[in-house]
Amino acid sequence: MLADVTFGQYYEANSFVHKMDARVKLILLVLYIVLIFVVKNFYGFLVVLAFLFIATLFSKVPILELLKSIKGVVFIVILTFVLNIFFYRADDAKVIFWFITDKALIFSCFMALRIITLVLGSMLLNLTTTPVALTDGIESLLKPLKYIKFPVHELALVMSIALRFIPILMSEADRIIMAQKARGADFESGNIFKRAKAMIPILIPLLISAFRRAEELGDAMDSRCYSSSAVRTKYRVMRLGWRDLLGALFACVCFAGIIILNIYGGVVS
Amino acid sequence: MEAIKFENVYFKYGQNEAPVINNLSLTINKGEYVCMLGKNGSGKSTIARLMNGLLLPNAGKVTVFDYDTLNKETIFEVRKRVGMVFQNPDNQMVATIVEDDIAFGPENIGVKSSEIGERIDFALDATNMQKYRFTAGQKLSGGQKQRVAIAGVLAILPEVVILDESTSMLDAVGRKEVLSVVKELNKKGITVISVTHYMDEASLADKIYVIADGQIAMQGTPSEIFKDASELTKYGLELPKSTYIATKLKENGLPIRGDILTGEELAEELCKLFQKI
Amino acid sequence: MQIISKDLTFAYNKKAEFNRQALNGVDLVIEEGDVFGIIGHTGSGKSTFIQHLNGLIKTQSGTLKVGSYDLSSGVKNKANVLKQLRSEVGMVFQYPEYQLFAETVYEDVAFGVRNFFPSYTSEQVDEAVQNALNQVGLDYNEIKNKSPFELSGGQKRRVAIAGVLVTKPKVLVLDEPVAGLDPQGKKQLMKLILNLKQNSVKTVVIVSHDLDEVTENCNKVAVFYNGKVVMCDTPKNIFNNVKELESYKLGLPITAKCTQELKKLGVEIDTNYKASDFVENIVRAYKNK
Repeated sequence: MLADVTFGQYYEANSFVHKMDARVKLILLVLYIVLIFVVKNFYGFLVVLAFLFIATLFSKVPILELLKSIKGVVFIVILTFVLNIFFYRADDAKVIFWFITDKALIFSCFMALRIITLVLGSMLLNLTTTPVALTDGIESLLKPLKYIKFPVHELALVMSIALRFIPILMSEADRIIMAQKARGADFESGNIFKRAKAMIPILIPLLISAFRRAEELGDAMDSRCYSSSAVRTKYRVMRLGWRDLLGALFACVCFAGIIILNIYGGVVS
Repeated sequence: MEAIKFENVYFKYGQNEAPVINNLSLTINKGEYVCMLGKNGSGKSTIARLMNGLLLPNAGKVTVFDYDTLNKETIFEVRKRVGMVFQNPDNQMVATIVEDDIAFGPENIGVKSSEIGERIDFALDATNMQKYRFTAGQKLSGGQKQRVAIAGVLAILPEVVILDESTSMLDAVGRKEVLSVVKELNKKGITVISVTHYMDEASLADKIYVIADGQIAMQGTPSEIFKDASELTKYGLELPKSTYIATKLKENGLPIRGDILTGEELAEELCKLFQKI
Repeated sequence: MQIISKDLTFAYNKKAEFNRQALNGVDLVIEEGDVFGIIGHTGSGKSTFIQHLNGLIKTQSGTLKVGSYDLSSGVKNKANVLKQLRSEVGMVFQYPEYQLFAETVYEDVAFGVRNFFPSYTSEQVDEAVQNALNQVGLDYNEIKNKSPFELSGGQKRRVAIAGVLVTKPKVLVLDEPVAGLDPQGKKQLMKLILNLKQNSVKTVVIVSHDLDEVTENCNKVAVFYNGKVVMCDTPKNIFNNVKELESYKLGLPITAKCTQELKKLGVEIDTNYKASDFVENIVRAYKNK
């Protein structure tokens, strides 16, 4: 569990996609998401799915592992599907069953497909990139914002520190829960107010501990010459390699295909 | 050469609170292994924090290699020279992976990427942690985490390393690991200041300061300090166990050295005693 | 209350549990009246074992009996039975002061009584709190209305221990009770813990990594190694067995170290390794020569 949190969903493997630069993967993901929402017909989606499939193959992530990620959004997918079936209205729609029209059915499938491909794509990034690399990537991509005084480095540092302390605080919470249980605390019975009140003996010590840790971490960082304004360098220099070029090229070809199909392939509406 | 110098230093945490440090003057020379002993609340940790400008004196002066800690412009010169390791092994790592964490200090002072790599190598070697370069901090034992913290400090290439109760949350194995690293560092010329209430750790030092009520209550070599049990008790401290046993044996008329500090020394001395007969 | 554990195992469940070490068949008997020491390196299963004793961890397999409570695997205990057990087996975790939460010392200490004995009148709660604070050497009137967070480290720990003593447990389990305190704080707290036996506490179980502490204070010691009890005996017999101890990555208390060195010279010292007894025997051996 500890390792799970520290590494997010990271699936350890030595693959083409794993070795790609996090920045390139992040940019491609953004493009991919934009495209999913631009796609207007099923031909375009065929390309999206083909792209996803090939990318997964090259990531060495078992397809089942990737599909597991849908579990978490099943509810949202169903909800979207149902809502669209109920509320989608089109002028020339034919009723095919009860009150459901053909167009509503097609459109609902389309929306569901959008969410599923969106989740699968983001998940693929999560599975193939460590949180550390992701934070570094985000920091590097947001660098231009520095010119408008946006604290890019601080943001990235906060993210990486949060990543590091989540498992520590979780195990601490576990320890405090145990200790209060040993003193007869009961978190399982009573109505919602009683339960909320029962959380106080956990939350207060946890909060105090978080502050204590923050203070010590702050001192440790100061002692190691931390200062946000100073001339910071970076140990990890991110370099683009042939994989990034190749990967980006392939993605762009797919994306271009989607756009072309979008223009000439008709519209589902 | 003087590494750290306190001149009539006063310090209090709040405007209306009683001073924690009371007219303290001391000098620590380069290359020394100094131990600050004192019970909880004696002010020993405050002294440590005054040494690298984490806290600043209300009156008096703290100089570190001729830099006044009150001078804001040179505070990083002070911190580059005086590294500090803290108590809780979990609270000092900034990054998830060991090497990234060690890189944090050099990155802060603007060391070039290629040189940071070399410094990481050096720091891992010095702390005997080479094997764990790519490990996540969470998977390390307490002693290993503290060695990473020491490595993170060493990567800035400091002259002085302060350990602020850095072994108090470790088990026996972890303490041993950390202390052996520290001893090696001192041999290589790094000034070590260890703030602790472990009496047996104090016996490793060249010089001990006993701190009570923000002042120096006693100072001297370990054997000088541990000679007087009754005075130590006055300041909330106890003799190391081996010293205590030796003292008891002496009281019972055995011709045994009074300045025994470690278990090894006691065993050795007892063997000598019984061999003579 | 006698504690009997037979073939107790616990497998680490990756998803749900933090920081728990596996148990691979723990056989152990703790008699009523023992001051029982548990030693072993980090990760040997000590903490996981003690958390079984008051049902904080459900037994996965094996037999565990704590007094009249049967915590063996397969036995279903109702919530109120477990609650009663927890009031009788007090558990002091490592750094217990980090679990303080209430606005006043009184409220924090009273937390346990209020949870376990909801029918108590306010006089009964008063009495229990007063009694518990007295047992840890704190002045009830002086401290009851203070915030626990403004106390010194040593006082906080005492308040936390009082919060466990308040239900008058018969068994008190302490995980590293004196860790992080200064030498005198350690000495005083240890003395206080041993004195608890004059009151309601009949059995004390101490988990510690300080071998000297265990030798001085415990009448029986169990050594945990890889989730098993590999040695269980009086401190004297345990520390006589140097070879075996070494294989479990444990050292020796100072007195045992010296005795071993002397043995190599042919000088036999018969001691239980407590400092006072050791000194006495060394002096005797020396004078007899």
